[in-house]
Amino acid sequence: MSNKVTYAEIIEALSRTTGFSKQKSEAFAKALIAEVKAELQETGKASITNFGSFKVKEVAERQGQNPQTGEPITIPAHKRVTFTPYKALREEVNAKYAHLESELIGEKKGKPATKSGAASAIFEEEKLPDPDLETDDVVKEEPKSFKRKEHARGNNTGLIMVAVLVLVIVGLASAWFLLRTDDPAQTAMNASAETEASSQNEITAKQEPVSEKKASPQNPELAGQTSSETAKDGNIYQVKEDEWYWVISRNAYGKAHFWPLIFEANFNRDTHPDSLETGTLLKIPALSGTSDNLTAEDYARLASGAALVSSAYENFGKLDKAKEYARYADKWNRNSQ
Amino acid sequence: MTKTEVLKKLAEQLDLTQADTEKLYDSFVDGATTLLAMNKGFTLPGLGSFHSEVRAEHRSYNPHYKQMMMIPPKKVVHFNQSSTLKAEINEENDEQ
Repeated sequence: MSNKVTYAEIIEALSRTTGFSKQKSEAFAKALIAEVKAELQETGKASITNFGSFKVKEVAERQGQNPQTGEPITIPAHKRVTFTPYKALREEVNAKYAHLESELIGEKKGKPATKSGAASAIFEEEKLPDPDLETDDVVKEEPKSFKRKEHARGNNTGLIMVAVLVLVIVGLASAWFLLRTDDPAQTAMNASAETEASSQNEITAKQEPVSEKKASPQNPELAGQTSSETAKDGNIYQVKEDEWYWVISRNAYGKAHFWPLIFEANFNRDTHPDSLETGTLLKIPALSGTSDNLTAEDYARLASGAALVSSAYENFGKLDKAKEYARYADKWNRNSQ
Repeated sequence: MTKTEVLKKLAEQLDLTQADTEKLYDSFVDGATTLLAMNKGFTLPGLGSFHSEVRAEHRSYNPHYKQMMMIPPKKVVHFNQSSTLKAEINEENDEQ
């Protein structure tokens, strides 16, 4: 096979990089292999540092089928050697896909999704991930203003789906502002945001889908805008079926892990953090900064929220989770100082 | 067995200093890792073959959230034991 490298090539490369002769390099490789084998025979375990570990595993007797004749045969119990790559190797190999994360589809086994259209559209998009397009230009664009972003619109295919959501929320928010305030600058800003969002909306049809992972980091400013404005409304949110705190938190703040804020605003440590009844009305507290630019006050509240979640978990005997959120609380506490 | 112990043993066998052996060891591991990251498979005679594969995106049930999750694609390393190793390991099994 073309994507295989021969042993001879490995030895040659090894001798090139280290400057030892090919004989020496080969002797080394042989000795290393022999070492691993000897250890496997003796202890049933062996490892190559920074690469992986080998283990002898017992395989129980099982019924099989002769692939040629289809007649049933019994495969006797035997041993086989398994390989477990170490973290360094795993991460190096998976580097291209490392930025992808599991996503909640929001459906029970086989049941259709009950979530908002935007969210499910995002999940469908993720079927066409494009790990080659890294987030470099994304990072550069983050601090730019709305106007600058408009210039880069052509490249920002990732914004599109979130933009649909943003359009709705920004529209509502600006209507609210128009009613509540006479500040012309504020009004103008919201109006421009709205037109921009609608221009994004028009592009939607033409753009090809992109992965959600690309979308979310590209849109921190918009997401931040969204969260601060919806949050100022002092939102009351009704929980839909199969929704969890972190789904709601992602919709509200753009960050799933801010959910302890919501929990803290609504419940105390006697509520199980993993239980959330459909139809519950939740207060969604406002951030004083934006979700990408938190103020010390926000951090302090996140810390106290996480501490509450931690103690609630502890209350229900989930010590692992309690520890995890205690760690979050610590981290946010440090950030708040 | 730790890396130091292995290096000590190998250095004795190969008549090299431990520093040199470590250099060989590190570049060997580094080279193997790079090959796998570049989608190239290779075989270590007597031990087995390594190759990397993309595990496709799939849906899976997350028992914690009691919901289906979309697991993103991931590139993983696969190992296949060589027939000689298999024979040796199982031969030992028979003797017992």
